Amino acid sequence: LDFLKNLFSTDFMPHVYCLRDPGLVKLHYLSDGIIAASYFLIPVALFLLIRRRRDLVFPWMFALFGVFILGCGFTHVLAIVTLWHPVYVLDGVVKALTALASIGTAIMLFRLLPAAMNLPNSQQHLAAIVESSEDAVISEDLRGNVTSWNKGAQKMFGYAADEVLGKSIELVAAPVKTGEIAEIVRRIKTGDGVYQLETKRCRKDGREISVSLTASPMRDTKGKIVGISKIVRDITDRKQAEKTLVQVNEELRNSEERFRTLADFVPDMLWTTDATGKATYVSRRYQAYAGRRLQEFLDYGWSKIIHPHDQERVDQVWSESVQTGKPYEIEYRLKRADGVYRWYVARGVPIREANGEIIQWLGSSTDIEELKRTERALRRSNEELEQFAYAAAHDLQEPLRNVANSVGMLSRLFRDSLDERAAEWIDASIKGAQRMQAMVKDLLTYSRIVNDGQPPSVSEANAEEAARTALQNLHSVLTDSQALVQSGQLPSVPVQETHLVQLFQNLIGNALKYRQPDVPPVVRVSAVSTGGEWQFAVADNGIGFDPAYADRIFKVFKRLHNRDEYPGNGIGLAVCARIVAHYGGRIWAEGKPGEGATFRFTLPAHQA
Amino acid sequence: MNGMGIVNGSTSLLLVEDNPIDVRLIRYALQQEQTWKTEITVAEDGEKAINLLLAIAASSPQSARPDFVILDLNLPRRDGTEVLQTIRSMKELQDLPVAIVSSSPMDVIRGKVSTANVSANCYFTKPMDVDSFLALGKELHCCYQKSRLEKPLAASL
Repeated sequence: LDFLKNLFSTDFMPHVYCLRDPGLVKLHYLSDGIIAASYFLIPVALFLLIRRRRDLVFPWMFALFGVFILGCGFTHVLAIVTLWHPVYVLDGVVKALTALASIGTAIMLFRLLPAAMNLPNSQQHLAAIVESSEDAVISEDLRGNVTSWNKGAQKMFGYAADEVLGKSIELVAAPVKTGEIAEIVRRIKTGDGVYQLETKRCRKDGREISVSLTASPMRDTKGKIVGISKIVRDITDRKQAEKTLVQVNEELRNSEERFRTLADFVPDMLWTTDATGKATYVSRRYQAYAGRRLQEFLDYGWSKIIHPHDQERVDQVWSESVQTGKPYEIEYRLKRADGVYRWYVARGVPIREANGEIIQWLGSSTDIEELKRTERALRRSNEELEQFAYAAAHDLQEPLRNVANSVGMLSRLFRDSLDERAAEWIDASIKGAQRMQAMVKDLLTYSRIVNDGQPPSVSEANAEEAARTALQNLHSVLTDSQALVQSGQLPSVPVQETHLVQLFQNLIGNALKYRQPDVPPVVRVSAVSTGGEWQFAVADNGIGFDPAYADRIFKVFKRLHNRDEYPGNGIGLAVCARIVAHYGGRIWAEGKPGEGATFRFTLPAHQA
Repeated sequence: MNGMGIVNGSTSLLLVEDNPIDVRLIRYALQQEQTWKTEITVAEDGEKAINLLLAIAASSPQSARPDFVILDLNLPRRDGTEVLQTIRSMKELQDLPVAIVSSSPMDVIRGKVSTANVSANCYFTKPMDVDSFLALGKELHCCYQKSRLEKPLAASL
């Protein structure tokens, strides 16, 4: 309270007494009043400025200024008051506070000075932005002559600033877009601009670039259009990417279209599925066959037209393929629009990405109804033919035997009463009948190879044992000819043992029969494994044969030699061929006259 | 029928054969066997043979019972295996020696007989020439002799 009392103490004389002149007093209080009013208004203006311009640099400096000015205002108010009321203590305190604010502001101002000095001016700021821009920033006069050229422009067009300043911008427009510059100038002159125009320009090195160009008029302070400012962006990469994308899409669409066209054209029904086995497409032919729309096939819709008896098998095989990625192949019946089932063979292959991952399956379904029918008919006709051959051979034997034996009895009983010529004719008849009988017997053997009423054998036969048995059967011939038979290691094969024995017996027997005169026969039996099957060979050092007849010798009753030279009916190799064919193998012969012969045949390595 | 049975030490023989030439050849071949006297009765088909055998089995005493049967397999009406089954199925006849002479290959003959689940004493394939037929005569004689020796003692008493 004492302090307040002191503060407002009026123990002094007011200024009025010193000034005396009323005019002078008036001058003082009017001037102080105006100053104080002004000083009070300035902080308000500063406050508004800080509030409105959020981008102010060093806003606190403005605030400090406001406080200092406000203080000054108060000192002037007190100067008016002390004209009549001598509150000099208060006046002094306010002055002291203002002095503090003043000195603080002055110190802060000096401390700020270096930083404030370094603040770029807007011109510099803009220039820096322009210089650092990746885009080309160019200004031109109204004739299209370049007046400024930034680093971006230099980089983009390959010209340094001093190469283009003062020259027409046509330099980079020609030759690709001559005429465009004039058009841009025309538009600028009317006050219009160009916004992100995609066009082409030419670099100094002649390379063409794609650019996006924005041009706007430059005006002087009076608003008169005096030039053009341009921002040019290089969009060559983007354009290239766009172009590639378009091309890729185009190619994709083309290949897709080609596939669809092909798919609808080929006689097979084609389909695709995704990696998990769900149908994504079936060709029109498929849709037409089943009388269903594409939608009805999608996912697993296609399985609805598979014959119920085949359904489970198809599911199993398909899901196995999808899981393992192995190609899919299966025969099944598919329901046609009219309800008739036809046999189809479906095949599918996985389409993989570069990393091997399956992205989809591509498949075909081929009508094999006719094939199946033919196959059945063929099997039936084969069976009938075998039956017929067997019956014919069997029933032919009896009358033949009768002829041979009757003539034989004729000869025996009436030998003495017949003349020599009659005996010759009788002999010829007997020989003829006997030969025919032998052939019929061979034919019977031949037809019985795969038609002996036995169910197909499922057991394995050891080829070494079979060869041994064959050699035992050939014992007398082997001894007579002093033959040497060598055998390598032979495998077991899923073939009826009697068949294997017969194969070896006929082939080795053949080798012994067609031996070189005066050379002991050497026969080599061997086998090699070749991808799922065994290839056997029976090689000899005999008389060989003319390769021209290599196929003929496997035919029934075909012989290369006169019966007087080498006996036989020509059934042995035919029997071999039939046995081998029965197991799905092949048989062939290699040789040259005088250089021996090699017979090769294949048999499956595993049960079919 | 009168020819059946043991007459003057000769063998009573039933030949079941439909081919007349084979009948004559077998007859001729057996005639050539000097040491074997045979009385041959011929049945031309399987049915006749079965009827004859059934009649013999039914008669008592079985004076007409043959000593040996030569049997073809491919016969009209009833097959040779059925004839053999008839013989083996009857108590009175089951020990009768039977030789099968057929034109089929040997493995087929054996296959047919074993399929019928019966057995014969000997098996022969019909020869292709006269000389072999003469040899067959000897073999049939041999087969008969052997079957007599193999017969159980009681049966020969």
